[in-house]
Amino acid sequence: MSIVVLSNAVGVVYTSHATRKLTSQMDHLLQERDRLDIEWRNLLLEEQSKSEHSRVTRIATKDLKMVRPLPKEEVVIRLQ
Amino acid sequence: MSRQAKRKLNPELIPWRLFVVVGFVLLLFTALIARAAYIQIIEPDKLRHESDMRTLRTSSNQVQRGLITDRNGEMLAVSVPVRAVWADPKISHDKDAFKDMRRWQALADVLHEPVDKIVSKVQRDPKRRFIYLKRQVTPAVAEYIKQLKISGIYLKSESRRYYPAGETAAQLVGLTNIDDVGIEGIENAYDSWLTGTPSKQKVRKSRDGKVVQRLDIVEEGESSNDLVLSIDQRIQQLAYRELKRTTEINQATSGSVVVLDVLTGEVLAMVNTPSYNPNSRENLQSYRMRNRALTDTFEPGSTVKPFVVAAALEAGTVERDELINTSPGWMRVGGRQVRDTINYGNMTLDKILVKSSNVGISKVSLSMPVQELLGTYQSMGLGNYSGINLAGESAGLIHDRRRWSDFERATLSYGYGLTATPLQLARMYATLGSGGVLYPVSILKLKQAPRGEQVISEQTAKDVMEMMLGVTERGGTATQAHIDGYPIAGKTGTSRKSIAGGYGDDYVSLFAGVAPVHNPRLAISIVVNEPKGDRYHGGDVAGPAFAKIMSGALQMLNVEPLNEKEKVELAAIARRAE
Repeated sequence: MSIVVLSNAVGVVYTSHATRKLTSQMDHLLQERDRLDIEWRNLLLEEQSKSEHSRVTRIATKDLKMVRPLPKEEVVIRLQ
Repeated sequence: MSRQAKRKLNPELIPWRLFVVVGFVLLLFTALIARAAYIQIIEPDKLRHESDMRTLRTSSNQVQRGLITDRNGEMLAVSVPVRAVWADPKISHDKDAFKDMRRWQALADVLHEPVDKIVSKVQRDPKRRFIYLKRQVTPAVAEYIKQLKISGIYLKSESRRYYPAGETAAQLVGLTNIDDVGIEGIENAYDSWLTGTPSKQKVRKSRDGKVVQRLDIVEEGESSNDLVLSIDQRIQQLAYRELKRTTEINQATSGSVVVLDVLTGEVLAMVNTPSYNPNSRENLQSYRMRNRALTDTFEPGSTVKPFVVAAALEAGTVERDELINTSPGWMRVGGRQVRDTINYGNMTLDKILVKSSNVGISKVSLSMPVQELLGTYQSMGLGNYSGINLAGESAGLIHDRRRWSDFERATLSYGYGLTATPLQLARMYATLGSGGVLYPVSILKLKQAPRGEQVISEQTAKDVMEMMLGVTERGGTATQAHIDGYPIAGKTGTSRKSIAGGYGDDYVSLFAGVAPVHNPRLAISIVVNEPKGDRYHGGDVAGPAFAKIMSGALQMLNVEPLNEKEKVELAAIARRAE
């Protein structure tokens, strides 16, 4: 009887320790998620400013010498 | 001596001593057990409380305000976490933080403020417990300030809103104030949807600050929601660029462009000039912040003429091919005069619209009861809210009265005596494009087309659109709005601005239209307010911008240009106006 009680007690200690370890790991991961979210937001801003239409248009027309075809110059290709 | 040593060699048990010692030890044990039992069983709360004081913490997570994106997922508003620097003057004084001024100097440098200003702020009132020193500093600066370790200087999390679209969508998207509350535009209208509340949770932390146990949730938070607008940022950008150019060339005071999707009533672009940069708030001027496309009304001038024709066709008072005599180029109505620039003689309905004849359209208007005309205007959304649901929207003005003089009935037909917003004007043309179905205007991206209301017959809508084909052809009033490949049903408008006691010398130049006529997709209205240049006619001022925006937007939406066969058919229809 006493052996059962003792081993049970050790078991309780062990599982609560394991739970704490996992909780702390989860907390760590949550913090990581928040950090990644912040980084994502900053990257979004960077992407947005790099892909801004006036900037893309400027690069396309000035640096790459591209022109938008007029509607009458468009050729429609139908698949099927 | 020897007797004593001998006695030590043979120790004798002295019972009373043993009892005393054993008794004492037992007593100690009992005392310990009693104490342990007392702590564990009888009075455990106090120590538990002490333990909780050292380990329990309430942690709250910061919730960022929701994103606002356009219909293709491009960002229009993003929140980024930043920090606020605040001071607790009492702590600073108690800990004697002013001893080392080098740290304060460094703090002042990184905040770009004079050091004595910051120090005096903190020194002024040693009893205060909270002063903001600087808000919305970047994480890098915040980290630097943390390293300075000045007593009584702390950091606090907050967030800052960035608007990547800048001035192109400034009035529409709106602004938040420094406390992250929406105060203008979409930010204001959908504030509660975008705002989340942080959840608070009780946690147990170990000595090294790690969370080891999650206890109950103190306050259930609400995560923020993102918002997808119906705006297409590519078209928005294009419209803004063209409108800005138009406003500058004509030295106009302001201008607005609205682009509507004909098939769903969604707003694809809504721009205004003058605009402002929502990312720098130093010098905001309220007149730049107004979303003029919704709030400002004007008399729509000749742009309503197609709807007079539509009303007359619906009422059956004129026929599709009727000839109307406008000789001698002016007519007298109720003692006042309505005049055209020249005598056009006999005109078809097509030609009345193409040449924008005031006499012709007045005759059409006078042919039907005024209630028919007002009913058509109202059923197309004039004098009513559009359903966009943004603060400050104006419904325009359309008088509802019994008695109208003949002259008023004539002026109503060429757009005086009633007011409309640019949005309403675009919506009227969208109704023509959708075959007479009026859709509620939506600023949010829709999953499917809403239920519209058939306000004029499909045939009438189609006829009126075909009548307007000639407006942008040679001989029309807006040849500069012509686009090769996409036939337009559009109409110019030039209205004098009313002032107290009559009409002044300023004009509003307008162009509104829907394209392509054979398969309508977009309706655009352009309003340029008070052009100061030599040209003030709607076709000259707003026409070129219309052509640029319409052709660019249709290309972006991959709308097929006219093929040769369709071109011949449409040319045949357009020739009827001659």
